[in-house]
Amino acid sequence: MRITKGRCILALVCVGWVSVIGTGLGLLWNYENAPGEAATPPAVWPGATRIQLAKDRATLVMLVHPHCPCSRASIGELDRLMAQAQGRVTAYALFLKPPDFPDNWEQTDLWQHAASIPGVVAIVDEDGVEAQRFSARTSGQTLLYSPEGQLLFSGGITASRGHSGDNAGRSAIVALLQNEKAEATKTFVYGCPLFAPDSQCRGTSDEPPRH
Amino acid sequence: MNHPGINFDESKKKRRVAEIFDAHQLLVHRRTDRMFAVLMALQWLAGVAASLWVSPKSWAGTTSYTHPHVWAALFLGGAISVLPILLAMTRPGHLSTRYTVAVGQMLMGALLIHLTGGRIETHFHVFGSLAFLSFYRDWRVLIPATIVVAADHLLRGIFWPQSVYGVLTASEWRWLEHAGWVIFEDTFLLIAIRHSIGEMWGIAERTAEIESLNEGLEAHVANRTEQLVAANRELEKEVAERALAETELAAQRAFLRQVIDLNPSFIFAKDREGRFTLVNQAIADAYGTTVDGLLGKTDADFNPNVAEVECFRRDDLEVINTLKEKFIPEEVVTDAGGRVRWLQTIKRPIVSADGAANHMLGVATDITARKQMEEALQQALEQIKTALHEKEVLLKEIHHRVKNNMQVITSLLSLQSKSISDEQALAVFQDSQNRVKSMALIHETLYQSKDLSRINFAEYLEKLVAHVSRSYRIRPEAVKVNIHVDQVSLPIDTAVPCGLIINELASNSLKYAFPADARGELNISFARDDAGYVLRVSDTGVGLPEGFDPERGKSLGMKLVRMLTGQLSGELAHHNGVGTTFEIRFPEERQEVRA
Repeated sequence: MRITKGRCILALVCVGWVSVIGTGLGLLWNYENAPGEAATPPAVWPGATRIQLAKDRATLVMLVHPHCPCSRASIGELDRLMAQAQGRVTAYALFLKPPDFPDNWEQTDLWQHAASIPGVVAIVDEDGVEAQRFSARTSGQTLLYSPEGQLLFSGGITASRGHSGDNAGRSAIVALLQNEKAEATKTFVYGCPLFAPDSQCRGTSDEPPRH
Repeated sequence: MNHPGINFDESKKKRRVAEIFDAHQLLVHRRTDRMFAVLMALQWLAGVAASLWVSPKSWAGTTSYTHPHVWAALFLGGAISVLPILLAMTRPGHLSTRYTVAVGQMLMGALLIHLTGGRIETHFHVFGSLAFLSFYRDWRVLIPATIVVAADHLLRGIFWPQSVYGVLTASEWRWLEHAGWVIFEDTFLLIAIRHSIGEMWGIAERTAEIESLNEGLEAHVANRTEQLVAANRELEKEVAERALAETELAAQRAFLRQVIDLNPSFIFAKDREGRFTLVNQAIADAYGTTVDGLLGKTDADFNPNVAEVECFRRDDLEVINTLKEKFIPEEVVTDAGGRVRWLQTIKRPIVSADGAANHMLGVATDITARKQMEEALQQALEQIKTALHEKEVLLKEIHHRVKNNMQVITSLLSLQSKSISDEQALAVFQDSQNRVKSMALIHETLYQSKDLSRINFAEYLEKLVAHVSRSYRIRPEAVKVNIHVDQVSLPIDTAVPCGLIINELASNSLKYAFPADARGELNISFARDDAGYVLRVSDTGVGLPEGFDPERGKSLGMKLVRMLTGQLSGELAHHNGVGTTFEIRFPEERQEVRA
């Protein structure tokens, strides 16, 4: 094949194009795979919480920002998890409800989805009090406690931000529920921050809330 | 099917097959490029829409902002799509374009997976894209696509393993599982592409075959067309010549038509059934119809006279059957006006190449006028004959009456002479009687003969000499009269002077040449020679007196002889030796002129 000026230009353009796209995808994937702030949940079920710890089964708690698009994958994975758990767990989905936000602000499609999952109780977390009790910082943070109130698992149940599919978190929980050894007891959490960086979980909104 | 003139060159055919295949493949590539240009544009818009629908905003506590997916869909999706779209539009059909499209399409798949929130269903985009890429029917485009997918998983497995496998410590070869599924589909697509390529080669071969046949057929058609054009030209030329010949033939036919129509005779041809196959205007006029009206008809259709029609029919068949000409001097035909026309007809067979005849040609000339003239002439002749007979009768009567009158005169002179005693006077009377008698004998001979205009001179001369001899009482034993006359007929104007001259000369000899019963001969001859007639009267008598000159003799007899000789334009000669001889020569022509 003869090398011509046009082909050289085309090759350069293609290289530049691939580079731009590679950079873009890299940035995107970096964003997608950038885990949220890790939680430091209490190793024992907090006594101040108003959620009742199940005595006969494990208790799962998921902290969710109701408007976080990335948590749609987390709810979806919770749905699959509950199906696999087959009644071995009591699950609570705590939806953040900052103060001064209109009523039903938390009643999003995520709420509806979570409430429709058998064995899952959707609860409003007024002002993020429960999130604070469980030291959760990122939407999708999932915690699994034993009936004795021991922390069994902490992390996210998605492979990346908003990415559905098999993941280490869900596999670990399912294994724990089946009294098996989990490959990991702690995973990254991919989701929106539950609190604005400057609010310390009580952040304020930059814009008036919609709905 | 073999066609003459088709050159079935295999190498040429292979080249042509390759050309057709390449053209078809280029068409497929370009068409697929255009399809991907549209598809990628739609994908980009769909990606932006999906990002706006699924994740328009991202939240951090109570704070929201535009989700990075929206910007990624807009700018990264645009960046992925723009180059393949541009190349597909500006360089369709190029391999580099296809590669770029393949890479872009698979990158777009990766982007869409993220934009749709990581939905597992969006992963089908990868397999759908591979299927779309197979539309190129070029297995090579599957390589970069597969490489992109494999590289995606490989790189993410290396740099972001949790994004692929959800764990931080996944197997470094797990990306091969994902790539393997892609290769699994590639396998089927390669088989499908191979079949498609095979079909395209088959189409190319069939197209080349058809083209080859068409080329041969076109050459054949062109050759035939050229031949047809040449034949057409020749035909046009022949048609023109034929048209010219037909024009000339028509003119000639019109001329011949005019000729036969101008001919007053009846010209016609009939077939064996008696139908007219050719007629001219004359016979059509006679039958009171037109030429076209007469054609195909028979005589019986126009002629009420059955006998005539049967006669015509019989003659026609005779000519056709015997192949011999028949001439009919006279025949009649009854025309449309009921008039009977006389015809003189000749009929001839029209003999065909096989020697047989089924037609006859007749030409009938109308001789009615001639016939009428003949009848009129016959009547005139009859009238003339009658008139001539009446004239002859009248002329005979006249001659008879003249002879009778002269006989009366002779009788009167004889009666008168009986009272005269003078010998000289008696002689004068006797001479006069003889002269009148000689003229009377002419009239007598004339009315007794058939020809009233001419007289048999020998017969007349016999009678005249006998009379003269009797009148002078000449005994035959004393004077022997010898008459030698050629058989001639003389008109009366010649016969009368000749008779008078002979009367005078014979009387003179009988009176004076034989005195006292002397014996002798009187010879009279009348003959014809080259110059005319010769009248000779001679005797063996005593001869003329001494010194007698006939030219100067004052006797009445000699005067009459000289006068009558002059009247005949003749010459008088005499010889006086043993006896006397008078000879008179006169021309015949003059007599005829005078007659």
